[in-house]
Amino acid sequence: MSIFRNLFQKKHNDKSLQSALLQMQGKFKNFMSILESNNKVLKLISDLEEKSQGDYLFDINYLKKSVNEIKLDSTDIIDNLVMLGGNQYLPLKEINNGIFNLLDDILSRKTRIIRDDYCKSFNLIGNSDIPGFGGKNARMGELTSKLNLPVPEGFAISAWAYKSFIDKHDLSTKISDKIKQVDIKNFGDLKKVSQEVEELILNSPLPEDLSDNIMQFYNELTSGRQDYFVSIRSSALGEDTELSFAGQYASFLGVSENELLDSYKKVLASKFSPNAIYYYLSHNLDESELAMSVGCVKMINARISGVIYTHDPVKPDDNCMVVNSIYGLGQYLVDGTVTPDIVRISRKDNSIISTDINPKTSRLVMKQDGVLNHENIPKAEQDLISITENELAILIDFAVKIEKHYGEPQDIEWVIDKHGQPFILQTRPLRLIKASPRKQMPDISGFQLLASGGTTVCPGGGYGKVKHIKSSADLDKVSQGDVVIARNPFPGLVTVLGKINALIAVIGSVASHLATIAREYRIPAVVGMKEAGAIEEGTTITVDAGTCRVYRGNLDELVEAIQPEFDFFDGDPLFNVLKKLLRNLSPLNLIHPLNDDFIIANCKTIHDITRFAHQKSMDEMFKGADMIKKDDWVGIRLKSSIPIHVEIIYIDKELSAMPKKRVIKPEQIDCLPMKAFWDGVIQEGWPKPPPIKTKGFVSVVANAKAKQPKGEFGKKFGKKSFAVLSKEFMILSLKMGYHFITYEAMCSDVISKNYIKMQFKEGGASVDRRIRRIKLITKVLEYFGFDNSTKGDFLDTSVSYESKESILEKLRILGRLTMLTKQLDMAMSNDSIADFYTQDILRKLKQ
Amino acid sequence: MELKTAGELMIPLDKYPHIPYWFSIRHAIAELTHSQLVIDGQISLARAVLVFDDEYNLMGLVRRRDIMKGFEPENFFGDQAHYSQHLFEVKHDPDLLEISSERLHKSIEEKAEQAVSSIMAPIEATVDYNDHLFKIVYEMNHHQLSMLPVIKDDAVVGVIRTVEVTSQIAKNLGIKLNT
Repeated sequence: MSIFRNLFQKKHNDKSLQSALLQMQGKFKNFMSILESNNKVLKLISDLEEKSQGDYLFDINYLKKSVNEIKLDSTDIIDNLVMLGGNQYLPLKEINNGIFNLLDDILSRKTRIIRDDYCKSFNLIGNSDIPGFGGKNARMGELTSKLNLPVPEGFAISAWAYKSFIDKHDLSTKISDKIKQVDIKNFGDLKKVSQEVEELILNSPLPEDLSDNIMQFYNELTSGRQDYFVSIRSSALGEDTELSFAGQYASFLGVSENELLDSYKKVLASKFSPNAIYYYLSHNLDESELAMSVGCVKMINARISGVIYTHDPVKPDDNCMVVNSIYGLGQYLVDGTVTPDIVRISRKDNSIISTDINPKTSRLVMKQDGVLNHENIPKAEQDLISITENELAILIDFAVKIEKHYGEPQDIEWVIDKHGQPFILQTRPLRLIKASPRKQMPDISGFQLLASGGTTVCPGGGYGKVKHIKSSADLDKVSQGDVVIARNPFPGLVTVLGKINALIAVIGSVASHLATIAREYRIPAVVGMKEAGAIEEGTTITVDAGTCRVYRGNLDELVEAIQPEFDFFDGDPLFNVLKKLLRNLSPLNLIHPLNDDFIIANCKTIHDITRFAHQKSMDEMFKGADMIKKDDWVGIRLKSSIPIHVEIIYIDKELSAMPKKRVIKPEQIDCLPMKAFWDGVIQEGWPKPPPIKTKGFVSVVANAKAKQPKGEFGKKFGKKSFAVLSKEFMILSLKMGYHFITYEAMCSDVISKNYIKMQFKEGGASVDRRIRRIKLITKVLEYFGFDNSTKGDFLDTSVSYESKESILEKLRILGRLTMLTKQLDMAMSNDSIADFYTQDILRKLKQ
Repeated sequence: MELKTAGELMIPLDKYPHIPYWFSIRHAIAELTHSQLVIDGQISLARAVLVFDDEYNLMGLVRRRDIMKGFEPENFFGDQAHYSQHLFEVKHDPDLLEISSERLHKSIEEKAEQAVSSIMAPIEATVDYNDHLFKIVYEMNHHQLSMLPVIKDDAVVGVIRTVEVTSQIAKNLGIKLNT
């Protein structure tokens, strides 16, 4: 039997009443614990959301701590709900655990590798395959299957294939143990560990079924042609998504059948190149989260190749596309060997805004046997533009389609073969940097200008001693705070980006992979500054990357003035972790308690769990109270001028501390929210009984009632109203004849705890009239700042985070509104009259 | 001739304005002003508002004439009007009263806030859902009513007015309705 029944049936001094009251108070404690934990969870989520706006700094420990606290509270919520409502709520635990397993994975940044085929043709994969085949492969598939754009034929080897290989030799543990010992500031150390790991991978044979499957796909691709070569390139699962990883992993061009499997392993091993290890360790990434998928793509013997940025990455407001073009294969562009021709195209009308032709002294071409060959370009051709207007138009058309498809600026690699056939090799999101307006500039007239020219890769300024770097071998000499001048922006430079103040490349373009990475690291960088090569080693210089100028000396005031205001967290790995966490914490999928989908199985986020638990805990509390029969007598009954008997249970009082009299007046209510609400009720008052003379009328049509709709609706509630109260909290279930309302309110000195929640249901009139009344109440409550959700004649409304005074005032409003809308549904015959009553009630409540 | 029943001719209750007895005269006026009845494509204003108690028992109805009565001067200034009537034994003429427009306005507002039950008229007759046209005509003539509640299984299910009755008679006579 319900503890409510025990509570209400016994006499006041009965011991069992005491026990029932204690039991009830225990249940209520569960309910209050749910509320408290609920508030804590929502506050923690809200705090994380605030951090995600980028205005506050945070670290990984903050994220871990927050998630841990949320876990404790959400577990507490479910435990209390089970105690309140029974084992039916146990499945919530499983969902909760599932979400936190996922959150733990995000925090530790493990990637769960999905079981998939070892290999798939590009035309069979798309964006949904990113988890299994990486962004680069998936987008290649998407370009051909969805956009029908020309991409080289080929197939992708899945991350599952990588896992099978790694698992077969238990390489994961061995590799992790080695990487843990790396000092990322020491290039020699990075190189040593990298070599050890690469050897480990290259010396381990591929599983037989995997190598067979790769060869089967290769043979289907080449149909046995001996002059068919492929490129083998990485598509790591994290690559080109939130972090660019541009150029950090190896690609192999002109690969023949015999070299295929070894090249595949070499690409896998490149995941542990010194650059790559540095990159993910410096981004707080874990080795295990970067599983490797690989693409096997038909080799295109390029006449020209290049990159299109659909916006200028450093001047996004210029509203133009930037096309970089060189002769031969694109390798010399992305590794910075050749400075490309740069054509800027207006995004408005595709007209050419400017053409910057650079001398292209060499090109990389593939010979008939697949071997790559460095060729010098005849002098007469070096200064000619490498791309025609017609080719530009075709590529721009592709670029517009790709950007439109992905809905964001793109960095697109392209190639045009000897026959003039264009191909898209890859596309990825383009990171834009917007320099803030310059502050007042200091006087730098006394400082010597040492070099100028080139192209801004990343704006800003930095000073330090010059270190000239020709190759990876020189990287060890770079110290904290240096300015690096490199001959070309080769990928190995990434290992020093964390400690230098500025980077200059004598040749190269913004299209190089290193440029992408420099923008990611926010390192002021200029490429193509020829004069910089002559600056003496060890000279202290200041680089103004925005204007591409280098001054002798330390111009700290200039550096301060030209510092761009980056959206600091954009692209930051921790920021991305936070965004992923929020995706599993914050969205609310369970909207309306009356919806069919308001079920445990649909709790997808922690917010869903809190929403569900709050609603169900309320239901459980009211369910118990609904068992109170009309003749039951609770210890305390509220008696006022309103003929609604409200049975009151105090959950913060001992039985002995309860009022001796079993009937209390409104002024004796020892609960702030209930008192305020009832003040509102009394202010409007209860309708006076009809005049005596009208009684005769009824007899004329005895029992002539308005026809009631069938079913549950229209039934008059015989049950009692009741309230469970404490000093600052109330839940009140009010049976108003033909409709019932539940109220829940917390009113304390702590604003974050305060809230009101009301649910309004049913009525005596026809459904359309009841719905009109709900609309009226919604409009009125909207005016007073409530957040409403309706379904048919059911209203769920709430307000929170308000001061004590505001909560009390709103409760008074609710009390008045409750009276003003009593059986108002009867009068709501059309929308016009409903509008009249809405305005009428609003006018009254505003007085 | 086809004899239709009250159930077939009536305006269903959910289309007809009705209010609880404690609603004000102002509310009844608003109901009459805002309610639009669309019957056979013809739009008309409701002539009365049905009044129910909180148990959904039909208590009466408020017609325009009941509202008019409610605003008669003696209902505003009962004592003064009766006093003058008694002294001079003439029919009270409101023009003779010295009433300021401000006071009059205030009085109208006050009167309008009184419960509609204070002016409603009794239900003197009803017809059954299955009663045919002649029975309806008889009840209307006999009680000199232009509107009757329609009862089915002890519940009010609608109302029938002289408009519906005469329209039906017109149809039976082959007179085309102007819709």
